[in-house]
Amino acid sequence: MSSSTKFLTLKTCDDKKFVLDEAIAVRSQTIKNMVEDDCVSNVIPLPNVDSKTMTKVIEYWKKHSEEGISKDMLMDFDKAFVKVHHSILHALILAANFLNDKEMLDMMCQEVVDRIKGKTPEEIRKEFDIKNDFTPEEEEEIRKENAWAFE
Amino acid sequence: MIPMRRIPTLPQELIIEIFLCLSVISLMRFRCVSKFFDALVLDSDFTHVHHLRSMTHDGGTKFHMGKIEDLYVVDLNEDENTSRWNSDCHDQYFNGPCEPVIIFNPSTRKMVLLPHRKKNSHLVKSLYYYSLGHELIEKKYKVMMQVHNSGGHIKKIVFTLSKDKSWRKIKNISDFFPCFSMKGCSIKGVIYMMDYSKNSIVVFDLRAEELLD
Repeated sequence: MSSSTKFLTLKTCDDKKFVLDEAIAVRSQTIKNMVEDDCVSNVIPLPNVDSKTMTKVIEYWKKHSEEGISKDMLMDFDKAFVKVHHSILHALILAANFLNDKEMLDMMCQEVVDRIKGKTPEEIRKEFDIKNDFTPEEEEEIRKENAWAFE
Repeated sequence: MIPMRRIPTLPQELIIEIFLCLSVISLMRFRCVSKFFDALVLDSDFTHVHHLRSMTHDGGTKFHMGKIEDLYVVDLNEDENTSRWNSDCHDQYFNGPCEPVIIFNPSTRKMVLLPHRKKNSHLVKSLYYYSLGHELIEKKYKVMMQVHNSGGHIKKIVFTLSKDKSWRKIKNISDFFPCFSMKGCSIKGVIYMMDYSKNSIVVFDLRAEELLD
């Protein structure tokens, strides 16, 4: 590591601190903007991210910043990385969105797409906590119209 | 008992982002989720972005067009919920009075019947040439039709899907003779057609509804 390596301290909403190489932390566009605008004091607060989620995010950032890592190895890592419980997946999406890491966000969203594409409307409501505001008649009408999509 | 971890709810903009990556069949099924999603899936801005993205995937949105009896067959099986279509014929032209014309979207399995034009009192043998293209500003699909009758007269009319009630005449565009053996193609708001009389490519701008030089 060069002598100019700078470290940033990130503080999650549950008051845990993470010390991270700035070069890695700026994978987050949000942190990068803060660094560039020079509004970083000692500690960067991350009010929307908890420590459990941040640990996963940093694991991802570090792996993707490793020197000399092959594309195949990264693909295997990514594949294993997204195989997490539903609640962690959503937490990671929210974190990637807040931290503004598009690459990570796209990967996590694609995982959600793969998980939900074959589901029923009932399962989708549960997945995203959506209230069904159709009357049974209205719902039946749309179902009939798109009966082929339920085969 | 293991305590349940609360599942964080995703904000609407992220759910929309996720929906943009879904296939049409999933989207059609998810119209039943709630009124918001029903409106979202049918929203023209949403379908436009979805269409642009899906073109980079296999199985993106495609359209077929042609004579009613040739283009497709939709048939229901005994339990009345399987439909099939025959997409063998996808010619853009045909002889004689051959209406109605239908545009069929195999992704949504929806079809649009183009309006009948007023029939002449005497049946004139005509040659029809249709082209379908996507206009990018209004984000509408337009059909451009040329009717070449046996007297040598060429009529050019246009129809905007989900907007027009009837065909509109296009003024001020010069005559050209589309090559029937080579299909036109629509890219980025214009239709390219082969003009066999001049052996050159004619470009029709779907926004201005005129030919480009």
